[in-house]
Amino acid sequence: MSANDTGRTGPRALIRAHPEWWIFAISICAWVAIWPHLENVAGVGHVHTHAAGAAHVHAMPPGRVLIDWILMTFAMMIPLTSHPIRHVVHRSFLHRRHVVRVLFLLGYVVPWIGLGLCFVWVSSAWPNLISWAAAPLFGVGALWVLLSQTRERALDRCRALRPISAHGFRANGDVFGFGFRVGYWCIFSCGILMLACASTGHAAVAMLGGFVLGLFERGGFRPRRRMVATGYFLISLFFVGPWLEVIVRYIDHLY
Amino acid sequence: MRLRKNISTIENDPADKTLQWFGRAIGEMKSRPISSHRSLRYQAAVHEYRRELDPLADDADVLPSTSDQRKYWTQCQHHSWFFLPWHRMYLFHFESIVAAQVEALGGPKDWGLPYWDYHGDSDSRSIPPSFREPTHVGGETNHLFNANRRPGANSGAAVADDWEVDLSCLREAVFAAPPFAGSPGFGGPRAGSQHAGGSMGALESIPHGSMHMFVGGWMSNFTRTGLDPLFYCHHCNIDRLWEVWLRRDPNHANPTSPLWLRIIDFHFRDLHGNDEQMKCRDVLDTEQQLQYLYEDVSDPLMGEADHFGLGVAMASFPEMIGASDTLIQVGVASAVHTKIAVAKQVGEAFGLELHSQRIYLHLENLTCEGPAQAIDIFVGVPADSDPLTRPELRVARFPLFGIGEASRIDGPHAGSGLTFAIDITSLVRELPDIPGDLLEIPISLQAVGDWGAENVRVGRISLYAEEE
Repeated sequence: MSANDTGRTGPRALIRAHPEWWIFAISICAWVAIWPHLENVAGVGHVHTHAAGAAHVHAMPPGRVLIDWILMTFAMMIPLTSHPIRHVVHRSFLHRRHVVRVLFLLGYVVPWIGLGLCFVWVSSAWPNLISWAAAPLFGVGALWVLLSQTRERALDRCRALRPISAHGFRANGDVFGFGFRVGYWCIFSCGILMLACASTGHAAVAMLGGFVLGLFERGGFRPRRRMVATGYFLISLFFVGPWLEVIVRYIDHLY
Repeated sequence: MRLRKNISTIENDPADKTLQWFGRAIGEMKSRPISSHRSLRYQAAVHEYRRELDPLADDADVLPSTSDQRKYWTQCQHHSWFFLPWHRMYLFHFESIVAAQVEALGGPKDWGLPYWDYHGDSDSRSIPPSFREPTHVGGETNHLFNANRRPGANSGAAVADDWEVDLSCLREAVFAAPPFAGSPGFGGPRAGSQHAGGSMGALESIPHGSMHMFVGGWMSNFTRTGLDPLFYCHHCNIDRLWEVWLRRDPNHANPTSPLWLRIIDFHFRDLHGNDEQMKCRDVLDTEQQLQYLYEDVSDPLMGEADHFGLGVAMASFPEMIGASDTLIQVGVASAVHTKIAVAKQVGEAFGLELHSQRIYLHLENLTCEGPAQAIDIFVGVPADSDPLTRPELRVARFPLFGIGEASRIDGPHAGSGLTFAIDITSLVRELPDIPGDLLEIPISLQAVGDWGAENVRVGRISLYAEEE
């Protein structure tokens, strides 16, 4: 950041200007924690690996599934909250900057935990469903990205800024509520795709591909819907293995 | 090379037919359907398009494809450091289309878009005469005329006030401000690709927003503004002021961050209807890159110093020192008074005197469903006084151009509203000292101009301090 950009230089000014950098550090830690799952690459022709990944999901205790879900949220989603994080920190007193970051993050993950609990329940109640769900979920996710006006509005709303109180408990409540609101709208924009990633057993293709696509989508002035939807559709092909097996067996049966 | 001339210069030279050619070209553009990129309606839609607000909407309209609309329409950039470069790109393409039409009609090949320089005598502060009459002397339709302007505009009776044409924005030291604090900067705050709720740069606020609201009518609405030919001359002047700012001080410079220069692509249909991608770095030199220059880019402030100097790089970052806690409603009935208490010892070290800091006032997240022209901000007015009786305590008048669009929950700003920042250092330093550790800063808000029945809601008022 040069003087010509804002007139402010120096490392202290740089850190103060980017309060969102700490969430990138948390995201990296989450990636490290979830790394052992990423060796499950999965793909067409790697049916065994995929099945093993899916089996991995529902072989784990529900609590572990939920923890992995939260790690996945931290790894993939919180880097996308840099704009609202800057908002709450710069709009708060300096001595509260650490508190507001934590409060925002807590508010943000609450709706995601809610969605994660739903995933845990489904994977526990219908374990065989998981091995089939990835490809259709990515496919539906691709269509959701491409066609849905609701998603486009959700993308706008998860970036919208709101006034926050400066003092007392109300300030804490406002920051937490703002984080909750951002998380809520993020679920509308990215929830399907996160469910798809989780259903693959956090396969590398799914998580890394989904993460890159999420960043790419937000890198332009307008969300790059067609390219992102194409990317998700291509990811869905990696997990179409079980469906191909069924189709091949059916064709065999016919002939 | 195109020369963009002052409308006053053109009108005072009977031999100069620039405006006549402009009018004839606009007439041709008006006759084309909205699906044609060379139509006025298409060009207006590039700024913003909402079908329900299109005054020329017709059932027979054939709109461009949805993907085309997504890519080329409703692209206007506001409340960020992309405001100036995007509007430069927009004008460049508009001018090329008009110039081609002028040439097709038998006019000069080097026709340039004229600018409306309203910072002058009272004549220049009215709608230029060439834009006021519905017909020319011989009865021919004057396509530069638009009936949808404020009362008195087309008669020449409406004259912009001093505040509406004020050029204090040229005294901003930096182009881009930090996104959430301190000085607004000349060109607008740093922003990522998606930006909502950011504050306006000084130029975008006044005279850009103020003159939009002064002309009123279609010019006060994002969707309709491009349908008034005067809009392009207004923005031509805004673009010119960017050049003026760069030249008036050797320390003034455009941002060098790659986030501004080359990350974001903006798409336009060029003269031939082909897709053209532009980045900010493509429009920095009007002569070399875009082949146009301005008749006059001299400094209207005669070398007046910037608000604060940039000779020494500033190592600090603005810090919030006080804020209101309740939402404030401002209406036409009377002024609203509030007080913000700040510690006299501020700054990260808590050893810095308030009076050694620069103090900025922020009005955050202003929203309104109805029309609203402007809002006055006063500092230091006693609660039992009418602020209008203390004009010397007015720090700013903010035009509320775009407040409706920014307040829409289902719009791209998702209801974030408008945010303004203003330097109030001099007035704070004149406040009487009171015993104790706190200083109470009285702030008053007063509605101004044409308002609807709705109140403007101010999400929060906050104060920021920055080491001087």
